[in-house]
Amino acid sequence: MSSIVVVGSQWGDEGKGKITDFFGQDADITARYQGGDNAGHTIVLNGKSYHLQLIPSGIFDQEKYSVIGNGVVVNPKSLINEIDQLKKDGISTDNLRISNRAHVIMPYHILLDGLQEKKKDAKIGTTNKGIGPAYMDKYERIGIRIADLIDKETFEEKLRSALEVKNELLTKIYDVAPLNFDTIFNEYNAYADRIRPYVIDASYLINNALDEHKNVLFEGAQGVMLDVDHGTYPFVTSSNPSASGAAVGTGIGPNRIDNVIGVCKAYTSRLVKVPSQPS
Amino acid sequence: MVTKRPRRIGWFDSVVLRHSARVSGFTHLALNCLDILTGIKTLKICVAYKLDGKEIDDYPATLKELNQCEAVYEELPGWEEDITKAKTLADLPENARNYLKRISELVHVPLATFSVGPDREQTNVVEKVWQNN
Repeated sequence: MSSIVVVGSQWGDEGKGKITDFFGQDADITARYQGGDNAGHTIVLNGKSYHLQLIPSGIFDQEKYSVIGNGVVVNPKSLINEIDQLKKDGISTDNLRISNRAHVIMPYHILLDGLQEKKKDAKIGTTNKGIGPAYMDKYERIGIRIADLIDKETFEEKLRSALEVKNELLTKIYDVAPLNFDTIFNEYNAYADRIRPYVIDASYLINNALDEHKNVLFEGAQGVMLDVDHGTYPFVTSSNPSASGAAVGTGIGPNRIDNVIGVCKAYTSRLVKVPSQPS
Repeated sequence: MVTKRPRRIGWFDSVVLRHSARVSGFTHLALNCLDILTGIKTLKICVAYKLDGKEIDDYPATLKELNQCEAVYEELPGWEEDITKAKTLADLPENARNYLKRISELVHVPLATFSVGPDREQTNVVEKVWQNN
């Protein structure tokens, strides 16, 4: 087996996409392990450029699997848009796999992302995609996972109880209109039907591939300095881009990672909106 | 870059890199955008921070301390030559090679690749990272 993690060593604009694409040429599986559609990369193929925010770049090669790991938070609408965009250009997505344990970004996550940021004195510079609130629910144990979404009964039950909490928050704390259960339920049921064929136990797939001496590339989004544990807190992302995140975020043991490639620029750059670096 | 939000640019900060290499267990570095530095007469690398007059090697946990830190720089001579077609370390001007060597030394991690431009052909392998091939 051989496996590498490719991770940004600074604040996430080191050009990881280019390096992932470069080493991905020899990978049998490319897997994302954290973040959501707040990341992404542009890939130029046969003169056409593709902008993917969620689907790993392995998608362009039918011999490879492109995996969204359990540590990722998935906005199904963005995911389906990306699938449709690829299909329109004649690129098959049959090699896409989504972990049944990944959490789903719901409309209230996106709404709350903006509302919470507005209330903060020091803005953390959220991308307003509901990523942080989705992780909050994951750890509060009221998140909805892909496996829950694709089971209509479970989804109905989980959405009902989550929405009750969220609507109370929206109306009583943020003073905005509550969200309608039926609207979300119907919208997300349609997404579930589209996503279902891709859903598997991704940990099983990746571990088997490693057993068969295949090459697996774990693709980190953002960068180590944006890691919620090791970054410049609180100006960080809500997950663990650090290489260790690849183990938990895809369901492999840490002993299965051979090499960790830190991608860096020959200089430093970071968002203007956050506190300054000494240099 | 994906989010297209404004960025602040600074010299290479080896304190940050040592921190991220340590918490993430880097076995290799992939260094991008070396070509951007072409034409700068004297290059600087931040080798340590100074906090309350004392040099520190680790990255502060609080923004309060970070704001009190001063960067300690080392200067290296730059290069003028176009490096965008370099395929190996040997193709680089000596000063560019020294710059890469110094970064690798300061971060305590060997280089896997260096890039001299955005195209796939402009990323050059120094050391293999896949064990199988």
